[in-house]
Amino acid sequence: MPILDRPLIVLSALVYFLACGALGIWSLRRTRNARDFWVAGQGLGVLFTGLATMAAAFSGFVFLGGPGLTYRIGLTSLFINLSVGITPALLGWTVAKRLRLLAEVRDVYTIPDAILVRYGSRKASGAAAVAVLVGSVGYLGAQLLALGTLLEAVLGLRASLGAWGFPVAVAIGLAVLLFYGVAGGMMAGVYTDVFQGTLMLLAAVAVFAYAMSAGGGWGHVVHSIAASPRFGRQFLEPLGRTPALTALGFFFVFGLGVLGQPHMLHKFYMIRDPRRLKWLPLVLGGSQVLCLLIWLGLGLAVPALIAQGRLAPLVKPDDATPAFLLGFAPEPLAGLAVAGILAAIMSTADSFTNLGAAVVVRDLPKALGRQLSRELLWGRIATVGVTLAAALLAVFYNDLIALLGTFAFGTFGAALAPSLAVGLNWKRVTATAATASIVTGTVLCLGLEILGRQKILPHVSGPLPAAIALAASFTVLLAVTLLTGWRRSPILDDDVLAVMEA
Amino acid sequence: MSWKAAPWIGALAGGVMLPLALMALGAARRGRLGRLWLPLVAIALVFAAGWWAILALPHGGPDVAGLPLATWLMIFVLIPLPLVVTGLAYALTFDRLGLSTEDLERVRSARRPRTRVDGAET
Repeated sequence: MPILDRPLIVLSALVYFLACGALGIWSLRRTRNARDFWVAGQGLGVLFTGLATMAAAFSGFVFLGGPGLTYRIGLTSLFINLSVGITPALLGWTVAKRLRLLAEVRDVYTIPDAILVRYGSRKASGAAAVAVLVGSVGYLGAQLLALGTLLEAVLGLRASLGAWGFPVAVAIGLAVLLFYGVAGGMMAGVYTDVFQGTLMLLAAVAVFAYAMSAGGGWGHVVHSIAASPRFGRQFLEPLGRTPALTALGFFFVFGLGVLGQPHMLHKFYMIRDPRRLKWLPLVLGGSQVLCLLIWLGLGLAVPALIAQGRLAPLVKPDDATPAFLLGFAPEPLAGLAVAGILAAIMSTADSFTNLGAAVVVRDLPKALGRQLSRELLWGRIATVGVTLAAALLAVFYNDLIALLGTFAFGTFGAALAPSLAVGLNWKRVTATAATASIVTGTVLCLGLEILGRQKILPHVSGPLPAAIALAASFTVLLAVTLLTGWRRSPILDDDVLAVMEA
Repeated sequence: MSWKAAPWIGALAGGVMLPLALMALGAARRGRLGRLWLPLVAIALVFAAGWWAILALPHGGPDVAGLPLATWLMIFVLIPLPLVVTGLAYALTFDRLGLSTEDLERVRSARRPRTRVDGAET
């Protein structure tokens, strides 16, 4: 449907960007030093930290990719979300407290910083920085894929430009992201994340409620799907359309890989009082569950509407969310939802443009024992480079948003989860073990993904490259620790020891 | 080993044991979990039962509220129940097993004069 027929949607998007800009300017005025810049002056309460973490974690992957993946593989897609009941507490017990306490004793602003402090090794921290860079390109690629899908539908580009519609939509998305990331810089900070998180929650709950109502209520929705020859009951079964190992791979990658997501972990540095972490799992988990309602709601409502003959079958699975919003949602709800999706995409994207810039201007030079002059310039060049690489990935990936998101999530998890989750809680883990684990996770995840996509290893696809890399990374960390640190614990600085014993 | 056993081994190792082990590793103080063992074991059992239902019930089992039983368990039990149990367990044991005021003071007293991450004094 042409965009001019739905002016409220455009207005919502404009209001959203204006609000983000105003918040950005307000927060920029509060930024006086590096601590303010990187970790919001360590001044956030638990509610803000939880919302900002959720906003950074949940992206176009959840709002567009989730319903798209469900359209293709049925409710097996929920294995990605199955771990959300345990991951907030898992994060709290294994990494949140230790990371926040490291920031209490040293000037720790990024995840490679934390690895440098814990292991005292520039090799480990350099390897972590490279992993963050690789994962950032993947994650930004998924956001551009989502932004392109949304813009192609909302602007009607497929109808007017045919095959060129999607590349043009990605190019527009790229321009928006570059403006947001480079011109805005740190304007896109944690306070905008909190605003965006709230918007995402509102949109997710409202869309879920309306989607169920549009489909005729829960009972009618699931009955329509089960009775339809196109979908059938198999669509609703946990392993209906996917092998068990693939489903398990999703659970494993998202359940344990969460411990290595720098865009989420970075938020833990920002909480004002470390003792407020007490309520973080409930706040984070509660907001995540509410946000995931959009995945379930549209994942079920769109196939139900197709089964009922009220919506044409989708050309691309990732069209599920735009097709529902443009075809069924009343304009105010569609406007709120589009703003919510933009919020989901931009809040994650700004985290990664900042992380990518931090790798280039802070983490890699530190790992090489150097210091960059003209940090701002290099930061902006890095942002442009990472975003362009992500745009190329988005155009040539040629698959679902959720699968690109799984690869990026898996790269971070495989590279960083073992050395953080185990290494911050077990003093025997050595720098050699951490470096070996990070390198194994990064190289294996990237290598298997490429081999799977090139059909050299055709069965290693979906979440399996990341799952195999994550398992290998944990194994390498334990094996090398047993070889190098079993007889004698590594010597830790007093302050780091105090953090690990707290 | 038969390939049929692979999902069961994967579910037990990656879906129950490893998450439980990591939670215990992070939560333990001086090698002890205190009363925290109870919610952790309970959640491990809930997940074990969930994985059994997912892998063992043909076609996900009989319908419950229009969904196969195993899918219903995933949505209405395996997500909300662990969230509440582990979230409350974390909060209620935080002062003793998480971070007490004394722990925080001890860490702060170990802080060196403000240092860069690489340990050099500034």
